[in-house]
Amino acid sequence: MIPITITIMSTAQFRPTPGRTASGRTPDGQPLTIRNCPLHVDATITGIRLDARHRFRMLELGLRVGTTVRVTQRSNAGGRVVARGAERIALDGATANSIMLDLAVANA
Amino acid sequence: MARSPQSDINRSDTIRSDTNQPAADSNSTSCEHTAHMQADAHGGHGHRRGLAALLPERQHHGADRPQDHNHNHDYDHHGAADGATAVHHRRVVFIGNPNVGKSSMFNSLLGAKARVMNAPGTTVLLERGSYRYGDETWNLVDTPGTYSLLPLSPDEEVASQAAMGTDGQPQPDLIVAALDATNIARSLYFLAMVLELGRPTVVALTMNDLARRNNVGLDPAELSATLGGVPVVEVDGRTGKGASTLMETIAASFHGTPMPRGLHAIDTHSVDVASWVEDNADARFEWAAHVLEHLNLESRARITRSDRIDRVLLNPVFGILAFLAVMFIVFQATTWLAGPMQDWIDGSVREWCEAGINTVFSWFGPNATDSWFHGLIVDGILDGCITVLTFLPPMGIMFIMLSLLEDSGYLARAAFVMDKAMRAMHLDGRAFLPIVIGFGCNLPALAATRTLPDSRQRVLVGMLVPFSSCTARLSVYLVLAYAFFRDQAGLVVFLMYVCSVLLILGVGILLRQVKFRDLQSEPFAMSLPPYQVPRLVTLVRPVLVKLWDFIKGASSIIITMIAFMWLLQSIPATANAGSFGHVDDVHQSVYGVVADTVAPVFAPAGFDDWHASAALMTGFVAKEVVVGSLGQSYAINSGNEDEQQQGEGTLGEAIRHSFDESSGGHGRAAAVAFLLFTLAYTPCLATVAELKRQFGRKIAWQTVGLGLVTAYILAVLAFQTLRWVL
Repeated sequence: MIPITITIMSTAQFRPTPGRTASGRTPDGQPLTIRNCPLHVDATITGIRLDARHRFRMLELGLRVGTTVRVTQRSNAGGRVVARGAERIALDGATANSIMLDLAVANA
Repeated sequence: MARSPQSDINRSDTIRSDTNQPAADSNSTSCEHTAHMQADAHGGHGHRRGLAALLPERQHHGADRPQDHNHNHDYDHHGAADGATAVHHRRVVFIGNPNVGKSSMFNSLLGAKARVMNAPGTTVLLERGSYRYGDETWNLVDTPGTYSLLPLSPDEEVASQAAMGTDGQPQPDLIVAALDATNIARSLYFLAMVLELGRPTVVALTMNDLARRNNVGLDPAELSATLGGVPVVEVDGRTGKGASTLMETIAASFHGTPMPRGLHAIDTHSVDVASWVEDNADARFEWAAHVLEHLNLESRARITRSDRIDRVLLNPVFGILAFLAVMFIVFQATTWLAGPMQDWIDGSVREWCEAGINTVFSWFGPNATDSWFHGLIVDGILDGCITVLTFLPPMGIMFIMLSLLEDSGYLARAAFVMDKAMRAMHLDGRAFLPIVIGFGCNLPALAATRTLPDSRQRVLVGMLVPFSSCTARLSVYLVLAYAFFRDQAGLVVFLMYVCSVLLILGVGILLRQVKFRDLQSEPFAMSLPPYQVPRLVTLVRPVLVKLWDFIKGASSIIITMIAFMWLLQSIPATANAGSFGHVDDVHQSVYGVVADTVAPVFAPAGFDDWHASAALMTGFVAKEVVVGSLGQSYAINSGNEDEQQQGEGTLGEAIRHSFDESSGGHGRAAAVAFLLFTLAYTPCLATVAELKRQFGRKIAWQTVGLGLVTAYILAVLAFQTLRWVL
């Protein structure tokens, strides 16, 4: 039950408010990425800031622009586990930081 | 960056006509295989050129590759020298994403017949073996896990080449694509790529039991229908369930399998692989989405049981603690649990064998046991055999622990948890495991390098493992620490372990800049398998097979070298030394002469003393016997004394006297130099044998050379520096 509470709070904190915070940004104005995305919230990938071959590898793993994902776990050194449907993909901190998200599209 | 497969494709000569399109009937199948055989008979050998085409295929595989005369051919030639007849062994390539249970499935099919060997000209491991099906023999090949046919690492490149039949790899007659039911969307994307190769393909559906538990289980028949008739067989690699059905399906599918609507076969020999993979990615995802739509897999839990476990095991704090706890358990299992078994083998089993040998010799007369031949059998051959056997408990336990970790799904998490820590050396988080295990025993640590998915990382970690200070070296540390630094002995031993860690880091960084320059930190992105309860019973057979492989691969070098050491110690070097096999004073043997010859080399390190060089030579066989060798060379029988008593007693006094003399009064500085040399040089013969078995002769000798050079430089630097203060 506790994680659900956290989810609701986190979602509220990040939910876009017209005229104030863009859905693709954190409350302090930073771009929203897998690394700083709240847990268990559906978000859509809007961009991947990696070199071409690694961007393509992310695509092959199913992390493509337009895909809806959820961050299910925060790990050490900024590492994140992302859920894409039933799949779970572990990403290191730098990679998690390079995948841009948007909450509005996913929650529309 | 991996070499572009396109360049390989352009280099390959092929006589085959386009056989990629699935044959409609058995007649066309027959034509296809005839084409293969004609290519061979005319020197084409599929993709081999020039003189190489005249040689058996294994000649291509480089010196590092273990010889396996039965399994390296896809064609066996019989009869006259003109090679008129050739038996075609159908080649079945298994391919799939990492952690999908592909290798478990492969091992359940082949069992003891599976052989691990390096891919041609690489250190990438391929598992292969022959499978008898009716009158036919199939060559089964298991490839490294890959997310794509567009490779990012040498391991992925080998997998891609095996599936595509490029760069000297024969065209597969059939591909078995492992499809992970728990990660179906990504697996379908990969399957689309495999199907586009146009080879007959059978889908092995793995992990479906786990998928069912998560309410996303698949019906193989429904999936097959959705794939347009591509055969799908559910296989549980852990239990072997479905394996026989898979083989029956393979047998029925050599003639060709349908190409699902929406996918198009390519010609692997004319296509630009990078363009093909990248340009059609969207189409493949659309196709996968279409398949998923038909399968109706929308009802799934948002938070799974694995997610709940990950909350602890991947937690930023508890995750590291859990990892360290797992490491501690594995370490303890391979040392404390294996210790009594090793003692039993070294004590009781040795005694029984000796008694048996003595009984046999007694049949040939009362003095038969005094002969040199008895000495060779007992002190040479038997000693070697017992040495091999003593390594079985830690190796067996290590194999079991690794299988449990892998089967449970934790190993992938361990890589994730330790990723940041190992990034300094551009290593996978899993590299932490063998290095930690190395502090118990280097041999199972080398076995643990198999968990690393990248072959370059495997070699690098394999070369670093010998610098992990194993427990065998502890006895040397203790005796010398108590002999020279009685009040600070504990600190000295602790500092030896600190030096070991620093050595691993230093040599690792050095190797990365010199030998492994292409090893770059890659973004960590790994699909995590769901947790499952490992089944110990199903691990027994693979573990026994691995142990047997170890015995076969490492025993010859260990037994030969131990027999050689016995020989050196048995040949008298002076007139009064005795007869062959009966040299009482080891200094009077050829061994002593060699030690005398070697000793001056250590003059800059302060221990230009034959006792020390003889002990180091013996230590090359096993570090456990260094102290015993010192005692033997000083003719001191320390009986049941422990290391502290030995260091503080007569043996310690004798060593102090020798080192003080050889170092010009700086015995303590020489002792530190000797300790550092013991830490850094080759841990034991068994380790060398295992290095050769796993990475080939070249890497084994490079590792031995690296250890000796590092040890010597360290010892000289330490002595030359410390002699001013100690």
